[in-house]
Amino acid sequence: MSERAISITNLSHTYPDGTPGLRGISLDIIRGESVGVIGPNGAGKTTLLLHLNGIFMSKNGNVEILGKEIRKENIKGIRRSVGLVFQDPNDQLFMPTVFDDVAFGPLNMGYSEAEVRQCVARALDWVGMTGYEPRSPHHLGVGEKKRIAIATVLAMTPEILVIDEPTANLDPGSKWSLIELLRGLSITKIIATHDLELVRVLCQRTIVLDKGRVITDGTTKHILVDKPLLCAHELAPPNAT
Amino acid sequence: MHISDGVLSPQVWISGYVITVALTAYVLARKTDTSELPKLSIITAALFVASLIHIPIGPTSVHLVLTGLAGITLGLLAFPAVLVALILQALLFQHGGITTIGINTINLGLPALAVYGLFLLGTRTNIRGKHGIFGGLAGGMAVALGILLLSLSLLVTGEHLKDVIPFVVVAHLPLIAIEAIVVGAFAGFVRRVSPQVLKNGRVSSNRQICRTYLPDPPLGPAGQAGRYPWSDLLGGAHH
Amino acid sequence: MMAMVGLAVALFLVFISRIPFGFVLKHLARVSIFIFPLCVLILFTYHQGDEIARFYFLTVTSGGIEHACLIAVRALAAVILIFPLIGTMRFDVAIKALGKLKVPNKLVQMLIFTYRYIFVFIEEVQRMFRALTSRGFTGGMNGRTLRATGRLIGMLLVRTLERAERVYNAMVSRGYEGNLGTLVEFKIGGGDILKAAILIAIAIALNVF
Repeated sequence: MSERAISITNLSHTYPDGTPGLRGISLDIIRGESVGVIGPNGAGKTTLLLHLNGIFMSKNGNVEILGKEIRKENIKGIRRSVGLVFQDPNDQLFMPTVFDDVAFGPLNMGYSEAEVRQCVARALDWVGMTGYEPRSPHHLGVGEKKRIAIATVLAMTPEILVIDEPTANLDPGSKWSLIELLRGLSITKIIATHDLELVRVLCQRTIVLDKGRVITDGTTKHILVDKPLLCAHELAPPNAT
Repeated sequence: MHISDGVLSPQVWISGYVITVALTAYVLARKTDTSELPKLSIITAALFVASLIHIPIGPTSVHLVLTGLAGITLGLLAFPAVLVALILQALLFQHGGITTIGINTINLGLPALAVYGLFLLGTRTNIRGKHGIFGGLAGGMAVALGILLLSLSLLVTGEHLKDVIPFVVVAHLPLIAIEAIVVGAFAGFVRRVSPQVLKNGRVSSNRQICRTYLPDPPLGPAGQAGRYPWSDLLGGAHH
Repeated sequence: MMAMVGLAVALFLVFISRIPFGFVLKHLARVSIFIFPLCVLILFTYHQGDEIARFYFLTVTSGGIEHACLIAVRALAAVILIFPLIGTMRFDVAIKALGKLKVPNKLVQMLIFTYRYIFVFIEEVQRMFRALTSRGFTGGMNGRTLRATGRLIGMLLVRTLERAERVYNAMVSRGYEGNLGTLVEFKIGGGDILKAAILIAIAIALNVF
């Protein structure tokens, strides 16, 4: 039997002001899978992602990562194994230089100086940004920032990579080279997006989320040809049948 | 509204440092747990940038000080925020002076704390539009108090600076009015759109993050534009 | 006059630290905007010693000239003295150096994060002003403009709070627990300490004399 990377049972989340974010989500993700989470604006994609490494911890429902339930006591280990890449690289890159940013995670994990340097070098190499260490994130292009943002997470050698809108605001060139990069990473990936091209080439499995609920969960091949379904959830032009 | 290096006597700027260090240490130790530091820093950055906005007056222009605004949004934490802003200004733009960081922090930071108290009291009353009114008062008063403290530090330094003071005061008078209007409008606006900005200096966690991932709503036909807080930026009420 | 010597030494230091003079002059011009009016005021208001000139109601005395010059030279020297200090290093290194100098970690963190986001917000404010301008906003000194500016700052802070929350989440998900570790590589040698001592000595001399 294949091992489960993520197992969510009956997860609900309500924001402090009473808006429901998630309503009874249940799903399992197998190790090594690459899963696309698609849905319109406000569907709850980001809220779901924030539950995957314990930024949000809901009393209703249960999230297990690699067989372990997320609790206050094991949160550090969970955050090491689940790397979360945020949508806006300006939120993710908060240090004055690229090196400091990529080193931030490993340093918090208490690695030694030599290990930290090794992690940084390796992560920057993976995303093809070696040599950018002394640059300041502010002076980089959007595509470069996105790559560095991914490197900051890879530096912690996570087993699960969770990415929010990786291709938002990218020109087609940067977008496709980023997709190539992600395809080269053989870890478990969960990608929230409304970029269907990205889902088509990167994910075998797709989950459609809307109004905090899982609408469909199936193979990408089948979901992306289901025009009525996509239209109903604002994922295709209204008259594209 | 701050003093450069080389003007004040060592006694004045050294005591400035002593008081600033003590107050900052107190506020940072008592009023923040470390989880709030990143948020405080990012708000400080925004206030810093906002204070770079220039308002044209005749042939010249003044830039905003916004200490009152810092007071009503950050509360006691406005003091370290002012300190950080001044350090960055000195190191980054070589503007404002290094020796005078301490005394300038006091001259700008103490008024921020004072008007924060005033604003807290004011918003407990039942006056209509109290946020705008007391926001404006806080904005203007903070500048006025700042000028007072600035004059005081010049006066303590020596007789030879005494006659400069009236000019300093007169030069800053327009700024009092400007800041009163700007900060008043700010407080009234924020009160309607997102009251937690004025939440007594505390940033609560776990707020609705998801909301911010929504793109700005498109501006509808002219008649509808008023539905969005965005359109208030223009001054509203003229479709 | 000690202040003059200080100014000369400061200029010399700028010279040997190979900072372009144009860069220094540009900054000096900006600083002078603040110092110059002060000196003019002192020149006319400080009365001591012989009367040198009189234009209608304005009197210039030798003491006044002396004081105005002293303040001007002192302030300029102080500004120039800062250039070799920070003009030759990267800002992020300077902040980390503060950490090494036992400046509390909380303050260092504030400096690092504030520094980083200043640039993000400068762009944001520019975009917001552009959006206002394209909808008919014209600058100028009137109540309407000022109120619009206040609301713009309000919008900036609303967005900032949301951003602060997201940044904090990004930090927490990479294991942030309140302390910031950084790796800095710089060595302090005997020469550096000597240089620092000279700079500080000049600075103190400027203030005392």
